[in-house]
Amino acid sequence: MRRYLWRRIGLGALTIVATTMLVHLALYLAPGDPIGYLLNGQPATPERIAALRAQYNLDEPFFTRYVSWITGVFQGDLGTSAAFNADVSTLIASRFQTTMYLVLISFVFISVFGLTLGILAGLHKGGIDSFSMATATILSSIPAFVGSFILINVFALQLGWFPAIGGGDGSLSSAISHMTLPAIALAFSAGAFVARTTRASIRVESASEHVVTATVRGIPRNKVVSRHIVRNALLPVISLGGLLFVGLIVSTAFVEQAFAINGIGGLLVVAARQQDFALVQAITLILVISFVVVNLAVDVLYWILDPRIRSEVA
Amino acid sequence: MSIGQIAIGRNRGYRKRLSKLGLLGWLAVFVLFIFGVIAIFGSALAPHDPNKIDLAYSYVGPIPGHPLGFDELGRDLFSRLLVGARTSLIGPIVLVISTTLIGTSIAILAAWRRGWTDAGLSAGVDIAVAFPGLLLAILLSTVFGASLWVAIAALTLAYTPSLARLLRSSALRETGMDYVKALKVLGFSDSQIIFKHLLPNLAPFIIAQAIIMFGYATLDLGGLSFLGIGVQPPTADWGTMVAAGASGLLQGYPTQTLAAGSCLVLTALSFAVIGDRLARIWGVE
Repeated sequence: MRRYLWRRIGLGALTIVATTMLVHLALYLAPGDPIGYLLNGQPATPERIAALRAQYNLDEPFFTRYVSWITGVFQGDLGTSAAFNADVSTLIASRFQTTMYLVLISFVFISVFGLTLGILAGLHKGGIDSFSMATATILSSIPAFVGSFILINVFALQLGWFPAIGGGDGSLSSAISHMTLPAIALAFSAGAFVARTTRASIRVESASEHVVTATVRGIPRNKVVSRHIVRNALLPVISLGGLLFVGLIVSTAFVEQAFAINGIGGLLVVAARQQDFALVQAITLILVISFVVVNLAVDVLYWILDPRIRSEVA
Repeated sequence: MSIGQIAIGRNRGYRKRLSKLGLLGWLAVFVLFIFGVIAIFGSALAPHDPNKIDLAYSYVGPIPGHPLGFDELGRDLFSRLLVGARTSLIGPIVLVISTTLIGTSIAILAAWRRGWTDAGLSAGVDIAVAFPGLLLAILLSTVFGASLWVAIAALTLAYTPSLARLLRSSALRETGMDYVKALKVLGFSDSQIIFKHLLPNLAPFIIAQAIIMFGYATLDLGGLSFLGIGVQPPTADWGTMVAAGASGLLQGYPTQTLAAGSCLVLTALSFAVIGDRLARIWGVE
């Protein structure tokens, strides 16, 4: 277990270094001089420009710049945002919690929607199957940025069950009431994706020999379903969940714009539109780290759930 | 020669079986046909100038001659919706064509050469598949500035790996078949076998994938325009119209956002239904 884990951690660290370097390289090679954005409307005196060039290491070669950035990261210094004229770590810290609430609540909806529809469709043929899959097709055709406004219009404006905009005051209860609609909007297409994968996985498992054997041995149907079919069928769904996670954080940009919530996804889009390199680099770093951590968790979960992996590695 | 023709004969029935599309399938075809006509003739069909601003009519509801009313700047919504069809559908067309061309080439190259070429391409694809398309689009627009073409390039990069992976396994199955070996023994050149035999046999799968992809492409490009890193205002586009109508929706004028959003959803849904039906008819699910 320990060797397996260390190898995974090493691979994760490599992913982080490679990805951040690639992003740095892309921004380094970007056409145009960032000095215009960095000046941010201030008079372009030669002294001011020279100071900015020194502050952002603009005259250094690529590798020196990257090393000084990563040294800064280890010291908790993510640089200064040109667009907001503020410390990047402060900008991100205040929004991080909001986005995490949003993603976690959305994950609950995705699991409930997706697994229920997928398991129902996988175990039954005919009407239930067609109905579940038709629901999944419709849900996957409603993107978060359209779904948000449908939900706002019906459940916030017409029925008044939830607040229409804003992210709440930071407490858990207000977060839940503010985040429910955005989380549902975010869950539509991902939930449909989980439903389809679960259904396919259940079908494969139901047709496998060990399930037929269990049925023939006279094991009650509900036990066959819960212990032989569903448990095995959920393994590929778990790794799908790991893959979906980072995409979900980035996709919060849609619902954050629709619901006027201050979060990481919306911040990333603003940073991109303003070509604010320091901010984009920092948020990408956070996304890559969360990708690595979530996939590490998925690997550990696999280890716990699937004895085959344990014997394979040991 | 005859061996190749027999092999092709297996799949050539796919045109005849189109009648199995079903009522829903044909309804979807009809919807897309209407949208296609609007995309081509939209500016001629539009009853008013889609960009004419008249603040006196800001948020005025439907009146005779203006079936959907006006947007926040007093522009005729129905005309903007018609004209917006073109920008909203041209992007996905370019995206689907470029992805299909690149993805098919990679898949065929990997399946034909095998060995190191296959291993290298597959490893690259496996890494790239995990990278979220939206993040790629955001990064590219940071580097090159926000425009529809940057968005299309980013999504092409994001879509290609998963298409290449799907196609590679079918291409591998096909290249392992006896008729390909027979054609090689008979002395046909690689390009003759690939273009006259392999590609026609893979065509149903490629077409079904392209149609399914079209739906996602419409939503993803619409989404990028919504975020302001795709089509740039004041160009009429369904994605930017969803964003532009947001403040109106909160004030009780939801028409712009919901109408443009419905067009996007209807397009995506139609493509999903048709792609799904075709995949089932051709047995390439």
